[in-house]
Amino acid sequence: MLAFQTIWISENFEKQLKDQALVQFRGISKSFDGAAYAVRDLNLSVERGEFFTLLGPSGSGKTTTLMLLAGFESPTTGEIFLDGKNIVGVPPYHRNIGVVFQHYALFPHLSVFENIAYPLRMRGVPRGELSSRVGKILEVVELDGLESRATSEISGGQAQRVALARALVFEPPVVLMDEPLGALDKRLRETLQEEIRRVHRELSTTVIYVTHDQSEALFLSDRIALFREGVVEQIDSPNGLYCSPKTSFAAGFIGENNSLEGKIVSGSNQVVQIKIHGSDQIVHVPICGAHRHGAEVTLCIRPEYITASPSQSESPQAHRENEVRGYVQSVTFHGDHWRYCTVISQQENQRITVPLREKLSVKEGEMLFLRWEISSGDGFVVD
Amino acid sequence: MKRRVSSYSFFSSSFGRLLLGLYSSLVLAYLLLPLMVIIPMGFSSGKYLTFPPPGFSVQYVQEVVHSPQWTSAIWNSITVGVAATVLSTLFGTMAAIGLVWGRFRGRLLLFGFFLLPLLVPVVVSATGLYLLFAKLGLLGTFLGMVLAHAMLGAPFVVMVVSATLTGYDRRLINAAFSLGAHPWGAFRTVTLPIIAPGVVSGALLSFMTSFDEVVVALFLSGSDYRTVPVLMFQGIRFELDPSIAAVGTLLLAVSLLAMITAELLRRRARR
Ligand SMILES: Nc1ncnc2c1ncn2[C@@H]1O[C@H](COP(=O)(O)OP(=O)(O)OP(=O)(O)O)[C@@H](O)[C@H]1O
Ligand SMILES: [Mg+2]
Repeated sequence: MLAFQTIWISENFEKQLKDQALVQFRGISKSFDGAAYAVRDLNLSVERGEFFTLLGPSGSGKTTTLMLLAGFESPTTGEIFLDGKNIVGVPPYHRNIGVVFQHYALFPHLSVFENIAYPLRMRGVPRGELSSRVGKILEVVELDGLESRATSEISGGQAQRVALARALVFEPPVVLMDEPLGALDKRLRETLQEEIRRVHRELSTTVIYVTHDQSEALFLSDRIALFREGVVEQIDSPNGLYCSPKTSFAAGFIGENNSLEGKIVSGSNQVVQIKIHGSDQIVHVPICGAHRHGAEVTLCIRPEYITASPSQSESPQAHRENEVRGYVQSVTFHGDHWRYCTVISQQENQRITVPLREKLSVKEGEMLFLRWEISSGDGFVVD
Repeated sequence: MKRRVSSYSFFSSSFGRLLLGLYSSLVLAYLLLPLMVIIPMGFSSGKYLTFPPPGFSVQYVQEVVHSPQWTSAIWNSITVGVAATVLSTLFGTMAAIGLVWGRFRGRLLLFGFFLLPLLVPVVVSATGLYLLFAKLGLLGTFLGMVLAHAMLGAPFVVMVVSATLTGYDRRLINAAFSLGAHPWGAFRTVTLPIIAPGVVSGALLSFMTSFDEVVVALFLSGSDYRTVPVLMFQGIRFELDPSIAAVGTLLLAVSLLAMITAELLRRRARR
């Protein structure tokens, strides 16, 4: 009876633990100088096993957020929970969080093996166990054979793997990575992205990852928090962020997007008609949130959703499609596609991509008709 | 790749080259002159300190080694040197860390303050210390000499160690923290091994400063606490036998050894 009860309680307890997010930021703000905020009123939670990415332009507070969690900075206000415990005020060496730094931060006086063994030595792991654990993690990051090298004798990609192994070997509940691939060239970045993804799956660790490269974020993440000037604009899955951005900033930051400025002239709740500034062309735009007649609106539409032809459509479907006039600014070749830069109602740099075989017979300065499905555009009220 | 710039000049002509060679040899000879005098005289077989020596022998080296006066001076020099080096290295390194890593107003001013013993004329320091130590009863004592020499050596340690620290990536400490190292552990296992070459060459410079320091040592030696340079200075006025040159040669050997070690360490650190 007692045994049964204990089992029941512990199962219940574990379930509770599992339900609880692993990392939680509650009302976190950080100001370095007492005036400007590097991070403002941050609330987010990261689930166990999740690959969570902080994405945003330079200076938007990503590194600050990570350093707050690692314990190298302390928040001005707010609380951070790890595994249900408030860790504000706990020094970094008691947090048990793995960190991969941008420029590796490998110890130059130690060999590859000793670098990876370092966290285990600090934890007093006995010698036999230590070398077997280092050996195992070396296999995971595919570095076996290099353990006796000095850190100056390995390539950038290998150094990054060593840094990764060092942050993983002590099996921390969460691993933080601050632009770990920022210093590498494109090819190597792609290889290592695959690698990080594989290692994350294999070890089912929780990863919080910082990058300002949106394609990297889309490829790696389970969820992405989009930062802008210290504030989270949107937290969503890669697909959600790409297909249904909540703000024009999100729409512009993730993937490529055109934006046209206009004003609401009429419309229902979900789809409004806007007149594009600079001409009398009118388009239908889905819009979310509160809006009123006459409000300024930014219309975002991705280049790949637009089709174009030199002549007007013969069977216009005004209830389903928009069609506007534009002028060709430039035509450029990009290997697998053509890219047309157009001017629509005096608003420059509206891009269209066209597959290689479907090159249009228009030249610079000529007129072009652009069409897209109403539902593929996104309208945002300008505040 | 090095680019070699070649242009015709006076020194390319054969006569010019001869002249340049002659001039350079003279300068070098001049720089080496004291050594060329002292070393042969240390191995002199003559009775007096005369140059050139009448013949060669090791008798004065032996004499020095067996004279209680010289051996006690050598012992004093070594013990004072080591103790002063330990003190100046310990506190100089700590000061350098505070000065380089600290974030406070007046950091540069304080840095200059730590280098003061290099700028103040040694006689001035010596006079000040003499008056102070006379009051404290430290004249002619081991402790007094150590404290004074540690003060003179510390600026070298501060300079060399802070130069090493400037090139040290402080994120390594954060990395160590994140991997579970406590502050002292991180210092011992990461910072210290990396700045070690700087600390050691600072220590060597500090030892050298103490080992051949004569002005302060003369002021503070009191009646009978003599280091080697003090004994040499006093000896050269009274007993003009070649044992002074023999001791000089010994000192030279020690200096050279220390300098070579310091330079080797500096090169290793730069890599
Ligand atoms: N130690 C510091 N002292 C003062 N201000 C700081 C400090 N660290 C960051 N900041 C400021 O906080 C803001 C956010 O910086 P943070 O480093 O978090 O940006 P980031 O998103 O990581 O940018 P990046 O992509 O360029 O690395 C910036 O305005 C920055 O100037
Ligand atoms: Mg950053």
